[in-house]
Amino acid sequence: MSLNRALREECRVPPNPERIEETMRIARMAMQRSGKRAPRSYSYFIIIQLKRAMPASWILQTLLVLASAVFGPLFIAVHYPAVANDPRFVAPLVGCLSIYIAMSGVYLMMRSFRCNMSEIEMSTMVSTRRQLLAKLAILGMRDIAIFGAVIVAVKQTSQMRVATIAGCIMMPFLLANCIGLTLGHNAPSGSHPMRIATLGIALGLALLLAYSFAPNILNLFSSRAGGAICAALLLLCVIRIGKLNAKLSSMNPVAEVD
Amino acid sequence: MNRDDALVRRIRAGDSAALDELIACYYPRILRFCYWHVANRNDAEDATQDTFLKLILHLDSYEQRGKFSSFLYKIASNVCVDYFRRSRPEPANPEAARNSPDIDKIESNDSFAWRLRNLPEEQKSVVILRFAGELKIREIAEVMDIPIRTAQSRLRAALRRLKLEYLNEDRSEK
Repeated sequence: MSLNRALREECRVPPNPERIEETMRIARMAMQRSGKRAPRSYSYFIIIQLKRAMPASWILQTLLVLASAVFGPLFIAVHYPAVANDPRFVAPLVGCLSIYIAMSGVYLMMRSFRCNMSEIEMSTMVSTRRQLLAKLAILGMRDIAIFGAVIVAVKQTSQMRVATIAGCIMMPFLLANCIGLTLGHNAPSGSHPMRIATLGIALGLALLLAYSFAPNILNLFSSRAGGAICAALLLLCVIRIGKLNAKLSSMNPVAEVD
Repeated sequence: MNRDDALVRRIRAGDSAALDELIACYYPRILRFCYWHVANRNDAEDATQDTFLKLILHLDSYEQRGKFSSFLYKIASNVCVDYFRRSRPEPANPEAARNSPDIDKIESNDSFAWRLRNLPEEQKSVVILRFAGELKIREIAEVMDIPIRTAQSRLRAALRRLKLEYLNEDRSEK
């Protein structure tokens, strides 16, 4: 007798029809119980997420950021117009702001790995992919609002082109997101906030140094090469988010915890 | 949409007949899988039942990509790990446990099954999924969350080991 055949025969375990019936009966009861839970729409889930994301704290943070990054330069523009009009002053400021915004987004994306948050998220009965999409939708709305305001404010106070301002924002933003998501993905559970904060400070310093030692970097942002780099970084971000989704899905909700 | 995904869709809509159909279809395979991972048949039947209950609880986290069997085996695998942890006795003296008459009896009565059970856990899982679950290598890799090549090499190693023992056993019987 061949090994394959022996294995197939050895692996045969005739099921007990009574146990199958019993399993079906208990499963039907479980299905009825789970069916009694009121279904929730996706939009309702997003609203709940917005509430849980502490909007008061977000609004306060946004106001502080706007105060320091927009109204500060506006104040300078009124009193020291020569400095405020200088892109070498505005660009690093806008870049640091975008890094800060990116880091807070990465922190929200990595929230699932902290304080058993993934279990709470799983209990909503919404798939990990949809939960990630909900977070991305919330962050997207926030980022569009803030960056829109920043672009308008900077355009008013400086002579910079919109494309250059957008490049100053997007390149550090996407780079910070890429590195943040990679670091967070590989970090042990619970150590994300510290790593993300450290990364934010390090990237901010690196950006200031880059502007100090290579001011011509500003020309890169409005060039085609800058656009290509942004597109590549965006692609990397999408890949990282895909990996994050895979990791969240692999945190199997059905595993028992001892 | 394949047959399993269509059944899942009907179950989500509250169709209990679809649930019965799914259980009838997968029960024997899941039982076979559980049987080789837990201590006895009773535990295997309980683990199989738990697998289907957990499936209902977490059905919403299944995304329809035609990989339902992998999803179900993954649940079964986690349930079996839990049963194994719960039922595993902690012998004070492992050598004494090894020399107990019960184990001798099992070895002599059903040596092939015993050898299968004695494979390293990761190799055993691959063999059970391949022969008891009748899964393809790609599906085994998905269930165990390992690369396809790793699944292949584990299966090869396990079969090589079993073949050697199987041939030796055959010769000694002759």
